[in-house]
Amino acid sequence: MAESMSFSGNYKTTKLYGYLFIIPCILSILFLIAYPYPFTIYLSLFSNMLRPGIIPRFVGLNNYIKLIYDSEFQKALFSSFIYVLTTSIGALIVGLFTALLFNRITIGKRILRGLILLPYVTPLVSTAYVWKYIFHPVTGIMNYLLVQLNIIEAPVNWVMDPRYAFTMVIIYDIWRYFPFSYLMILAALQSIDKTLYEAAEVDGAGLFQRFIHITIPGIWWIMATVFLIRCLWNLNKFDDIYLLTSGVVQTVPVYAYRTAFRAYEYSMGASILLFMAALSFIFLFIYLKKVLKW
Amino acid sequence: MVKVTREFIGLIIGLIVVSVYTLLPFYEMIISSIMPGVYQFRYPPPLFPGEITFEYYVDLFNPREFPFVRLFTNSLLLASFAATVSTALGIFGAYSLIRLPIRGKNIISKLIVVCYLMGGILIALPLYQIILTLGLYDTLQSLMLTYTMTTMPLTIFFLANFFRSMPIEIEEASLIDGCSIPSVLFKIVIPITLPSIVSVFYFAFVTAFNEYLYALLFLNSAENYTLPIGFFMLYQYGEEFSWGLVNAAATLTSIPIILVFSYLEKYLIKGMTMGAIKG
Repeated sequence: MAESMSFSGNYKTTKLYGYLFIIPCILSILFLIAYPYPFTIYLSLFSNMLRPGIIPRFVGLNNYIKLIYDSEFQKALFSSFIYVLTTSIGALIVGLFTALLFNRITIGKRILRGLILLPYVTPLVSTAYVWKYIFHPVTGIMNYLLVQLNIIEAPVNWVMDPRYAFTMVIIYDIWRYFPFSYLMILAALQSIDKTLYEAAEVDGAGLFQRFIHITIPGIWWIMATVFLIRCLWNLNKFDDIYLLTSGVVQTVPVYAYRTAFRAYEYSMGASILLFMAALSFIFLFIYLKKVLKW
Repeated sequence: MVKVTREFIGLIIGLIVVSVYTLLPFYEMIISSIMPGVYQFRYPPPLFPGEITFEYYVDLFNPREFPFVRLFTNSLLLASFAATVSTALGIFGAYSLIRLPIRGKNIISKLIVVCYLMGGILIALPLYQIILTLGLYDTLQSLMLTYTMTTMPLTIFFLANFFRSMPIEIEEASLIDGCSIPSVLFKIVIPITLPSIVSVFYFAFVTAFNEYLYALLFLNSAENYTLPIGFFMLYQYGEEFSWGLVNAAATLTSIPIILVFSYLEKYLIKGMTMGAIKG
């Protein structure tokens, strides 16, 4: 935190303004943490919550125990795990590749950077439907290309088959979020001291050796940070998955949505959401402790 | 000489791969919005439009074909309202957090980051219950309230970062000259950091504009739908789903956002490297 100003004027009035101006922060905390989390905990400890005419019953941790044995939840958890890992690592690798490439380009930098950022900047709803169009099982260009390139033998149903729909949403999210890793990694690359490379070249280090001994140490911290923040965001991601696959793919957020808002099992839904919050909190804690300095 | 050439060729190939990967969806979006319907269902899928038509763009403005204008207006109004209010309030919050002498700053700023990172579906149940209790279900007000509140941690966090990087001396000097805190804020801080404030507004706007889950939960009747919900409903339940129409709508939606982005790019990049577009 920055130091406060030193005041020669009326300290009391200044302090008063301080507390007056902080109200928006307090409101956010109340609306987004202080009320929601205790309320979700409360919901998760009862059954039959928020049902008109039915009296809620205190069930303690029963909802959580039920959750652990729920095979659909286990599957969703596994899907989430695969989803978070593949999209976070995928976006990191594509971003790294692009950043390394663009770090060597000298002309047209600004316009190229703008183009690379397009997937990240364009509204979600626009890009989601174009990808659905590209992945259309019959008329989409993706099936056509993959068959032509002999990667798949026959066209596959990217929309209805959960396995392929899952692949589709992973490909989409890597595409959508790699510009973020690209931007971060490029900034780190540009801050590496150029003379290091020159010295290494004089010493006879090859391209690969220079990459391992100079580039990687220069960017690994940023890569770890990007990975961490992507894991946190992808873990709680609902929009992309639901928009793209219309609920065929079930990760934990989609399962929570189904349970809470389609089956109206508010208490079970609350337990799932708290489980997710606890998982997220691990990432968040590392982020607050190790990365964020403010 | 040979080595240089090989590296150059590698670079070019890499560049082509990356560009195709990045831009193919945009290309598909545009050509399918100007191809007549018969071409949409040809196999193999045509890479170039055989004929060009602008009928889909005309249809977009015909409410009987697709309620694009209403959806767009709803989204635009909601996002503008939320971004304006949360940026305005965020200025005060961030300034107090960074410059004014109050207790508990450390814990408040940590909690703001928690608010920013732990939102979305994690708090959907309580927000749903709040909206029901306030009697706001199926109104645009429900999203006005929710988007304003959910974008506020974003504006506070980024504005605080921008305010902190400002030299404190100017503000101190004007205080000594007898300026009050509000006049320091309005006459010095806001004018100096205006580009940053505009970029924070943009990030809040885009966040609200993209939001899908709360709109799905809180809205029920078609006249209240926002763009993401409208597209989704049309796709799921539409009788005659037309790719040309949807892609024309997608193109038209993207253009203003991309134009504003390229205009402000210089200022936005800094926020983006701090994670201002939450995805």
